[in-house]
Amino acid sequence: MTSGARTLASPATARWLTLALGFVLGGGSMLVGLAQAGRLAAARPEALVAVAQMVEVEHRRVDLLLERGDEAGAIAALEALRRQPWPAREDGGDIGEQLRHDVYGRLVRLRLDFPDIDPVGDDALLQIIDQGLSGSYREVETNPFTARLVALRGEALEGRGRDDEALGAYEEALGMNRALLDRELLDRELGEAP
Amino acid sequence: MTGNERDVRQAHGGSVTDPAWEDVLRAGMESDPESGASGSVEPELAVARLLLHAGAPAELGEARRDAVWREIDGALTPIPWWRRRAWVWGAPALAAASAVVLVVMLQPGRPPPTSPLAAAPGQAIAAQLEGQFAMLAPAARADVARSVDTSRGSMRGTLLAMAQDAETIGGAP
Repeated sequence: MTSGARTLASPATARWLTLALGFVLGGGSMLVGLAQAGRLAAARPEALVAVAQMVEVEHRRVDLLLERGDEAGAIAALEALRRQPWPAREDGGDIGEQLRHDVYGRLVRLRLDFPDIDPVGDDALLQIIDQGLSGSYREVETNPFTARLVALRGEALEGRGRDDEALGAYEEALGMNRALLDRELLDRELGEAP
Repeated sequence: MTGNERDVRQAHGGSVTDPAWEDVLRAGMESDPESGASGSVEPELAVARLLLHAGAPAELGEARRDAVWREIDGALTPIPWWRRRAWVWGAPALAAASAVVLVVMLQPGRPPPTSPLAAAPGQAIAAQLEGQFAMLAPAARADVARSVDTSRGSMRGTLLAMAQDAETIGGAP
């Protein structure tokens, strides 16, 4: 009797599992496809490659400076990198934008953590952040570098006592990170699926 | 009118409007059982009082009239809402319940929030966001590196194609 019930239940369970797996795979494929479709590719790959190499080298230099405790040198290096000409979004694509947001984010983090080194005013810091975001950051595919720069904008606004705007920036950054974590979990589930 | 009654009237010379006359009449009825009258004279007296009142209505005294009107006013005038019994007992209970609700809502022990970030301090949110960035950044950097590699391959292909085109053009007779 028990074995009979088990044999009756097993096909039904397998059917449901297959159906659920199909839904997950289909939904995941759709999301990945949409994500790829939303990403703007670089129209000038050579511009993206050049700026990526420059950013990579400077990041390593900043790592070394920070290891030596030279925060002033790290800030100066990132300031020099920030002032370099950056490719437009049409030329460097979304990856070019992410590289710029990464550099600006690292610089602003250091400026907030070490306000006494080469100090800049609150307004100037907000201008730097806005320059880094360049107004069209919401069109860029969701990524952690943009989310971090938005969060740092919230910190800078909070420092100026503009709590409502700061709260808005924090919520926006949290929303971006939530979307990224969901995507990460989905990718892991898809990677573990047979 | 019996002879006894006539005697009573003559003996006392009183009027029927005098209450003493009624007493004399009752006493005469009781003292002369041989006259043939039996029972009570009260019904006749009541009729006599009614006829007397109809002929000349008796007026109430000033004090008595005021007392009667006070009773009527008291019976007709509604009791104000604040003097009703329900309020006398319900008002204290209502006040106590309101005080409890007020205390629960205001919570005097808890300081009121002063800004939107007071409930969840901005420093904590910023730290949380920085932690999320540290967790997400490595995968994002790897993704950026892959995309740059793709662009590098594309660029290499373009350069090779250009070189081949140049060779073809240069080697052409």
